[in-house]
Amino acid sequence: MSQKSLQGWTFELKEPENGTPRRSRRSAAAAVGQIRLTRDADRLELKKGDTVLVSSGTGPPDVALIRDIDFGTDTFLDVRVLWFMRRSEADDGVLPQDSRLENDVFLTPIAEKIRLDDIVGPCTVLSASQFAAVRLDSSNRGSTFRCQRFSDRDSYFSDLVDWDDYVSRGTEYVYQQVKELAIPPRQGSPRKKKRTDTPTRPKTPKMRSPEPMVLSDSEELDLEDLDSAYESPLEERPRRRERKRKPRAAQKSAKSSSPSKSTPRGLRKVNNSVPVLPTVIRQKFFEDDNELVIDDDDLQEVVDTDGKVVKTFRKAKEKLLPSAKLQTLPCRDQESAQLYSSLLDAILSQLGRCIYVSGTPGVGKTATIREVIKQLFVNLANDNDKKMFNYLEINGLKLMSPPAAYEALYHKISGDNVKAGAALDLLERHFETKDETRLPLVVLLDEMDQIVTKNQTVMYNFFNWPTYENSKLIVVAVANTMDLPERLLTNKISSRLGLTRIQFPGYTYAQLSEIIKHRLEKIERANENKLVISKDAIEFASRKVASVSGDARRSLVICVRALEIAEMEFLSKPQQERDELQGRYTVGIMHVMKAVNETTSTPVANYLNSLSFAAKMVLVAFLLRRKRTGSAELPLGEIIDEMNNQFGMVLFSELKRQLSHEQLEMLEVLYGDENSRLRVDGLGYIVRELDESGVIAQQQLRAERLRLVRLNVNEDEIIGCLKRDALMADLIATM
Amino acid sequence: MTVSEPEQNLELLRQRVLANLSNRTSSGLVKVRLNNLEMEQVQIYKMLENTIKFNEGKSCLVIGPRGSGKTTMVNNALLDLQERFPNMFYVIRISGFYQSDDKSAIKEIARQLDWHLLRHSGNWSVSFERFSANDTMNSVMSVLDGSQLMEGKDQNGDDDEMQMPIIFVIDELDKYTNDAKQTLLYNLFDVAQSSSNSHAVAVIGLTTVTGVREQLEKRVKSRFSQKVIQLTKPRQLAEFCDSVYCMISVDPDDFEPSMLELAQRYNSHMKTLLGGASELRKLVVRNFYTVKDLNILKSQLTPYIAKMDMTTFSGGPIPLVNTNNRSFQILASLSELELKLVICAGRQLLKNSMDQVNFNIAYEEFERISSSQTNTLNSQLQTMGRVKLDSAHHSRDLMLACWERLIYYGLLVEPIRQINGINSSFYTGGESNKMFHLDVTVEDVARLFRHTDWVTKWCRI
Repeated sequence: MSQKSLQGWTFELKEPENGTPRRSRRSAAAAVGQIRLTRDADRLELKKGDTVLVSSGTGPPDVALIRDIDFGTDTFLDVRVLWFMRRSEADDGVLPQDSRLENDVFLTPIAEKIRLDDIVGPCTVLSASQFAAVRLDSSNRGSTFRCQRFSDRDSYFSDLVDWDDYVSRGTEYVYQQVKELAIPPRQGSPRKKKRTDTPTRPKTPKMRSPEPMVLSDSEELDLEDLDSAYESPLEERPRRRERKRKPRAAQKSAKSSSPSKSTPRGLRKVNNSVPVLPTVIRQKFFEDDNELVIDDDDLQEVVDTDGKVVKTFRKAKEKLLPSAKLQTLPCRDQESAQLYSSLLDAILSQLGRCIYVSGTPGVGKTATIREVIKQLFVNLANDNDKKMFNYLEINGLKLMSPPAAYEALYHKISGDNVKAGAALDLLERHFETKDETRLPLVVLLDEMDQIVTKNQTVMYNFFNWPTYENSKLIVVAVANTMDLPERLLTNKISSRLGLTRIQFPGYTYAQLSEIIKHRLEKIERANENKLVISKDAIEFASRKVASVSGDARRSLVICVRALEIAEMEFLSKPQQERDELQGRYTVGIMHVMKAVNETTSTPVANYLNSLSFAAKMVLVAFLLRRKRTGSAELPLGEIIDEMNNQFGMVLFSELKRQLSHEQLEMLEVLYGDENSRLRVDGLGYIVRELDESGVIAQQQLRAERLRLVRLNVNEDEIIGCLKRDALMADLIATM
Repeated sequence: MTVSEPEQNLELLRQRVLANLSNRTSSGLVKVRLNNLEMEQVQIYKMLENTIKFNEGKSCLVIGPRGSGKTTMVNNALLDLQERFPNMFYVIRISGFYQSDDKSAIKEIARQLDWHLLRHSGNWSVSFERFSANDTMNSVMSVLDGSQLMEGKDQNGDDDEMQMPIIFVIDELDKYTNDAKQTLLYNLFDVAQSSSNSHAVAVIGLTTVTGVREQLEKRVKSRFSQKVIQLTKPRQLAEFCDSVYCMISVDPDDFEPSMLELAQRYNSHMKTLLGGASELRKLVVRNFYTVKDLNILKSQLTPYIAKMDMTTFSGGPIPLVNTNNRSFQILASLSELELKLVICAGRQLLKNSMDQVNFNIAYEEFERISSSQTNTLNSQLQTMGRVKLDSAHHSRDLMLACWERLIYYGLLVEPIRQINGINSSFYTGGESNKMFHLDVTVEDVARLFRHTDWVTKWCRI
């Protein structure tokens, strides 16, 4: 409904009259005053509180009470009505006896906007006493109604109400009352799954109006209750109503260019804000820094000194976790200085620039950049008394597809959400135009190698825009490999990448131990030298990690794990011993060693040892057959034959001895009751299980015998494991 | 038996036992008793407790073969947590089987977040799930990711208030490692390891692949907390029997006092059955040496318990579960001509050491054998002075129909052969020249039908 649709209507604005009961409680409405609409054709006057007949497409027109007329947001004038329910729409079974007249209507709390075109004409809704005084004839039968009850549109009807009284107090009052009265009182049941697709959803102003509303006392109705009151009836409501509403909604959306609010989808679109997860107020598990609140079951019996140890462990762990907040990053001074100066230079000169940062995972690339940005923010803001640049973080692995990077960038620049293709055009235009007031934008392109597409357009654009004269775009690209520009990118892109490259080498063991010590520094001081982790242990962990990857995360994780192991060990000690320790417990090299082993050991050996005899036989048969044929891949049929041969030839004396205890025959156990002895019982299952566990890889074929099988783990590992098994010993010995 | 129990008590007991045997593990509504996994369960519980209490984000892998109780264990731990911290955390479950790629997994996470949000606050006008995958990803990550440096966002925020801790349970985690980018795992592990004061996320991945850690991409691996809990099958027979006992016995505390005695009697009877020489014990031993799988045992025991005479606790028949090759069952149901064709094809494969066979070759062999057999028969008849016998002649078309049926049954399998990367299934050389693999050998057939004379004859080379 644009202004055009107001054709045929005139409206006048009436200054609010003070002191009348009509005066709305809502400040928003009061500001506008009251709007009076007049239809040119038949001089029909509409104002707040009038009752009108509204065309419903099919069937008799609906009766509605005009709740208010207002200047709308997406239409010129909003006419909001409360619907009445006709007697014919109600189910006879639930209708109260005294409200079964043909002209009975029931006010519902369902509010909706209507189109002016739909208004058929005026009607009168009267209270029971007034209605009795009116004589119905053909002229007013269709436009005179009696209202003595409210309803929730379904099966609930309120007690008798005095309509006159309500009308005299104004529409808002009526609306509030009907909301309260039309709720079945028994609605205490837990809410069920909510339906999202409800065509006649209650449109309370609370949901629609974008500005927060001041709730008056009578409005402080529990929204939850309200919802539940509407939702359950909606589920069983006769479909008739829905059908009737639909054409109107469709018409409306077709006419108006603004998004129709009558569908949930539309509403979702409008409401583009990201939902916020509820927060929980945590019980404080540690009341303050010095006192431990014993609340753990297993800490219950732990006396005070032990509690301190546990708390120290806890705090040390918190500090060591990769997520811990740090004031400074040790051992990255050179890199951060380099970054700082180049970024500062770029920002101050207001020119675009690319900086490429490389380094293996866990060497502090992202952390350092974030740190530098933070510093720049503070320093530049202090020097210039205003924000000097904008900052955006894009992580290639946090995007579902590379072009989504455009969307993110454009969203940052303009605040609009557009599709990737459009965003690209808009960005292109944006960076081309000259804009003196524009702040430089620093974009951190994390995991850059993941936004490399086949034709590398995304990459190209991100490195091309900084070269524009007016773009003021600074791109900090981060990736793992040093030579990525040469290896992965075409020349035209790597030439644009420029020469500002910063390489983060892996941490050396000294640096790693420095990092760990740095994190633990504070606690150690607070603990009066109750050293949590011994120097040797830190050294050991650092050397272990530095020799492989120089990954700081890893060394931290190992230390945390060592702490956990030590904590477990401490708690499992007898009480007496714990008392003797006097609240001191040191994490030693042994604990770190355990943790290191845990992170490096593969669970394969453990798994192989737990396999059943038949499953081990499958592996042995594979190895035997492979030795003979020399090919790395074997069809399953050959393994089956080999197994059958072995069962026929080898004695398996140990197995037979074990089975004789159970009075079982070996072949009977292996092949089941089947006399043909072709396959070991459950062979298919065994092979599948080995396949799923990743020990072997099986070709996906329908034909069993032809499936190619390949070993996925080291042969020596298998032999080593099986050698220790008494059942397999004599077989393995021959290999 | 000494005391006769009321009929309904016996039935109740039976129902309880059967309920234990049914697989309700993954529903996560009831605690399921597990044998020998207390330590691991405590580990999981502790880790999640730390997440809820101290915002300590952790990721953890639970590796173990099927039926070793991974899901059940995690569910038990979650139920314990739910009891201790009611409504203080969200659980989001995704499975590599249902959400087969990262996109659908993200959608599912958004959907479940929506559901939790709705249940918690009743607010349904906002949602994480969006029309496009990118938006969904953004909205989910914006909530989960507390580490990103954002402008105008206070980094050192509230201390007491924190976002609802979220626990992710990823079933079949290995499915998400197939993708080169491993977006989902990267994000979840990243979020978990960067859990800060206001965010707490724990990730538990369940998988059967023992070497799954090596399959993680190096960035993902660096973000993973390196904690692996491995579940294995019982190594010793006694341990295995304990697990079976745990499965088959009932908890006497679940019963009314009047039935307590019955339940205990049942338990002790089962214990003796599993300990001594009995059919049940034999079944368990057999399972132990072959598949070593409790789930198969469960389904075998269900009819055993259902048919059990509850007054004496003597079990019903134990059915055999044949998990073996279906080809053998098909072989047993073949018509004579079809079987002959299978044998002929197998003979040709064996004689010429080929690995594929077509109808023409098999038919040639068939003609040769059948004619030689009529010949020998005729010569025998001739020596007896009888007239020559005309053997039944099977037309080529008839045999071709048999051949086609064998293909249909799946005994003959089309080879998957790629020529320049294209599946060469566009074969136009006619049905009778098309090459096939045969899924059984002559030896198999001979063994299966060793009591049928003509088959033995035909199989003899």
